[in-house]
Amino acid sequence: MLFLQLLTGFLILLVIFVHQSTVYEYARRKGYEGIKPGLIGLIPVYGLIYYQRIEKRRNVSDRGLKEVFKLNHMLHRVALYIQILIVAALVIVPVVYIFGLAFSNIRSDIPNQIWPENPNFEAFNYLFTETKFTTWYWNTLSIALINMFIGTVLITGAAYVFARFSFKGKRAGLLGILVLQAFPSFMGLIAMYVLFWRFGLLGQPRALSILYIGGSIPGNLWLIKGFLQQIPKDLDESAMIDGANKFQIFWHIILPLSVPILTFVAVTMFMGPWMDYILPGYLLNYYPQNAPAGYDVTNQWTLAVGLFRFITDLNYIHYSAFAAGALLVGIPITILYMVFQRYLIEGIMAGATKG
Amino acid sequence: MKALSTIKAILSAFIWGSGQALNRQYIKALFFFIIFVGFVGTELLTSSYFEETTAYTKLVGDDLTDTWYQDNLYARYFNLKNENSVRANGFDATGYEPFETFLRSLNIPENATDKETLSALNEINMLQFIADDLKAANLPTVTNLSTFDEVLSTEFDLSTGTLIERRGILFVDEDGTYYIERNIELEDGSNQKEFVETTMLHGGLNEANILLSNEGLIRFEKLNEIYEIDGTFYLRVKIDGSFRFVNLLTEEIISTIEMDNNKVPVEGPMYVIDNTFYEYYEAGMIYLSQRLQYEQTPFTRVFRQALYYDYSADHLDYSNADFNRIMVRIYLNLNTDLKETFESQYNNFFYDKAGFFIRSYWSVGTLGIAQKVNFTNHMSLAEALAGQGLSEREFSLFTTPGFQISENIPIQGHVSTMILLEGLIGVISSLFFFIFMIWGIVDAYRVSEQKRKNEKVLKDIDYFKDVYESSYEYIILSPAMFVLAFISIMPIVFGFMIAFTNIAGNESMLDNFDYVGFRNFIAIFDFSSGLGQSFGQAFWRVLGWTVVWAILSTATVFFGGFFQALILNSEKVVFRKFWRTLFILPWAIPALLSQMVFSVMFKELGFINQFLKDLGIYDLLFDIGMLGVNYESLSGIRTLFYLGFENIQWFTNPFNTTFVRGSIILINIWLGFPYFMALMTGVMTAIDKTLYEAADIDGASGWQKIKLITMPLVLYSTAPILIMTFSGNFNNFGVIYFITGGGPNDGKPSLGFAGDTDILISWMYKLTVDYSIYNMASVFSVLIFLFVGSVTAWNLSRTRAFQED
Repeated sequence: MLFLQLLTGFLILLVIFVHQSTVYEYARRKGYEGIKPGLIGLIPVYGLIYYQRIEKRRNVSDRGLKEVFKLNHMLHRVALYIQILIVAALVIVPVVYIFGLAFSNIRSDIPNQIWPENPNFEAFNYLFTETKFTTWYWNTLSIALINMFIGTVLITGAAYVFARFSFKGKRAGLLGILVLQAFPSFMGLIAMYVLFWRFGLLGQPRALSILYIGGSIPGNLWLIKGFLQQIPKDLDESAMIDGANKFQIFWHIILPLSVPILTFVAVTMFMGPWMDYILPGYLLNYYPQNAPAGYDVTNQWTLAVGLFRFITDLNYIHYSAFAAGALLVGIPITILYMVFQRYLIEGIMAGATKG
Repeated sequence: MKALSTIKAILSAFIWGSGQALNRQYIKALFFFIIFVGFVGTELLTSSYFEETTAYTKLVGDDLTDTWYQDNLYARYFNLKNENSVRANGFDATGYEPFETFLRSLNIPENATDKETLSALNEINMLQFIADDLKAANLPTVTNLSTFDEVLSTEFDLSTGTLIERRGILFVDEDGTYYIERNIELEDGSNQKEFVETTMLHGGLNEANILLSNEGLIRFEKLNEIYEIDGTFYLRVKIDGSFRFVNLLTEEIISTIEMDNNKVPVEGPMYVIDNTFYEYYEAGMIYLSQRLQYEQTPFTRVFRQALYYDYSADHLDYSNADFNRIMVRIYLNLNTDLKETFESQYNNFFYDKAGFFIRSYWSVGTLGIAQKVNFTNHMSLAEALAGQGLSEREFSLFTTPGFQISENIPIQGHVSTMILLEGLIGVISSLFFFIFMIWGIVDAYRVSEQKRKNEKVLKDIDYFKDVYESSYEYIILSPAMFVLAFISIMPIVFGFMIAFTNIAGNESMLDNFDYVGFRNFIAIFDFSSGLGQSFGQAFWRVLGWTVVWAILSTATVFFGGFFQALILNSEKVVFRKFWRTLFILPWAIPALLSQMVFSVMFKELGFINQFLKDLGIYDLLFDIGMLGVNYESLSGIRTLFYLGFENIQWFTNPFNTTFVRGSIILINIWLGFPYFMALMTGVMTAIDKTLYEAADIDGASGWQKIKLITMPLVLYSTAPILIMTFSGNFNNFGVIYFITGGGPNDGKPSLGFAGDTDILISWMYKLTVDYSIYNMASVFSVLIFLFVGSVTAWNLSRTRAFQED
């Protein structure tokens, strides 16, 4: 039953899109391009008729127009759109699912419907009143901000030195930093635990910034260095002729020119801690020895830990709250990524090729 | 002469700045000397070279101080001597003999009262005396339970005696055969109870007669109460709920006897020789969960009295800890071997006396030597020193308000993790100082040479200016390098060293552990040891899957993205931008969230299975035999298609690991293809259209155009990303940990705690966080580093950016 329903829906969509493609091609051959043919093509049957009646703008033969309807072209279109529609469905289903889950109020049963019967905001209510969601949000935000500001400042200075000067041990230093990057960040986990324990930092979310900064030094150093190396040295030299010392060159010339890469690094350093689970999962689960009876360890958590606990820890399980939290956290980030997708993808690409 | 320069250089190594001073560059000399002072100063200030250290600072509480012993204890003893009442005090006016002997040995004249002569009477001596006194009065004895004659155990031969087991639970059958319960561990790790034949009172097992259940047997509980009536000894027992008495010689069972006034207080082990019963009593021994107490001596009574009156009353801020300390110290004096171990381990030169830097080098080398100690046996002194609260023990400290003896006094040994950490911090800090030292040495040599050859030597101020200019880089780099050293390098070295130790298990964070050399690494290759059998084999299994996973996931995502980009690139697709934006959604959503969502969706009772059920696919699968069949009934290739029992077990299928692994690779495509699609779309649109037109003229088919133009160009531009993605997938924690949780068959020690879909990094994380097997986790991270590091280094050394440098 359901199968037939879905199949019918699928076929209808298929027909619409194949029709659209046909009309678009037809219109293009006649000389009409742009959004309009695409939109009109979506209207079944009428779209085709519209463009049949309309005048040709280009000098195309009748046979050229008939070609649009040739069998293998049509089959080609059908095949293309089958693939596209399937993929579209695969992409959309989990998204719809999570929206549906957020609007239902499933606590501990395993959710198995895509959309609840009575959508409600119960889960959001629960999230804000009965869990420490706001605390988690603040924890994560503060870690990200500290990471972004202090980290960028620290790394930029170092990168400037590596980019502009040659000094003894530069090559060794670069190699060393490269090697450091190859270590799994994981290897220092135990040491970090003991370090934090020694200095009483266990269970303090903001202390994690230290680790994030340290861990991101190697990678970002390379990136900024690569960018700075592209700034022509002539600028430096002419400034030096004018009597600027090294610091002034840095402040007045280099920095303004490196705003793009600095923005990229700042954004990456801001985004990094949001969705990290490995470090907080281990270091922020601390029960101090003299803990009072009602000690709430959830105060220490970040968003990643909290959300994961919603679906795995039997003490805190609440599937809908997980979905609600995921929406609140995920939507801003998703929008950000969609808007800046070109820069971000190219930035990662640049990092890989330039080394 | 050159030798002179060398000498100056060598001198600079020992006292930094001396070389410069000899070169008459006094400002520089001062500079180096100040740093030298800083270095040595830190070492000395953090040390206790010039102080007395004892191991006893690690014990709880404070000492009572010598003056208390001199003023209060001795004075009280003196007064009691004058009371001259043997009955009350146990000694008369001539005093308590052992103590008088002790005083004489210290050259303290009899009846001395003046402070000067009493000064030899200090706490250490007193505690030693009390211990010796107790020991002398409490030699092990054997008591005849009929006559109550006591002889020293050295004068009595117990070897012919039979021990009477007077406590325990047995089972007896109708023939009078007794059985005792025993637990055995079977091969598969489960426990099984069995019942072995034994004797009623004398122990011993007859392995030939073992029952598997106690059905039909009657419970026979020996209650550890001995009664004597007219020379016959009985043991009280409970047979099947009712109380009875057993004649210890004849083993006859009697229903009642007269209990009042006939109970025999037996504490130590009881033996029978020639039908006579003897008790062996050794103070400090533990028998049948009871601690055999030391008997008090007249002196300990004096001691208690002094504490009762002059310590608890006057020193209202005394604490239980102080008294516990005394008990432990006396206990240690009684057991000299324990005392030696304690003193040597807890008063170690390097740990307790040495300063920050020297201690750090020792720490890294030895990981601490003091084991954790938990004193419990000092409780055998409770009666003698504290008075157990029985009415016959006067001056019981138990009646003073708020008094409490601790039954457990734990002393934290050297916590190896902490020690290693502090050691590494110290070593790294010392390296910073050594940079200055080397600088000084080199500079002394060079300047001396310059002077010798009469070359120009920079004046001090100019020298520093020059240094500033030329090391501007180092100065700017220093904050970042500083952070890097302690946050990145130190933990890596720490992790590296942990791989060579035996730290594992829940308590090991707090314990003292040791280096075990390459044992952990050898276990990876040698499967014969226990460690090797579980972890070694698991390592190769997980490594294999990790490599396969990295390759497959990268390849599928790469080609998936390529394929999708091709399709969307076709002219026949309208509103390409719309579709591209839609398809990039999986990349835009934070990976963590989508991974968690998938884990929920693919649960056995979750959405996907429900959907497939509604579609009717389940019926199809049931018919084919991919679902709902017992796994054992399948064989051969059909085992590859086993999907589950009632529901499709996506990630919990314990039998068909190929299916689980296949599923995760497919799901990973969803997560990864958008990025490549977007990337390749960019590349494809940048490809020169004329290339395609030329191909058209040559009559190339669509497929040929793709194969010969599009694919090579796209592959060439995105190949670096491929390596990066491979590396990233090798360590792709999120996909495995969140979606599969490690996979089926997770958490079995025999499989090294690795599930079927665990990759190295998720496995290591679980080992660290969930199972606390820190050493093996470190071993694996070292191995991963060696692998990934070499690949990265090779890859990056090939890039132009590096070669240009």
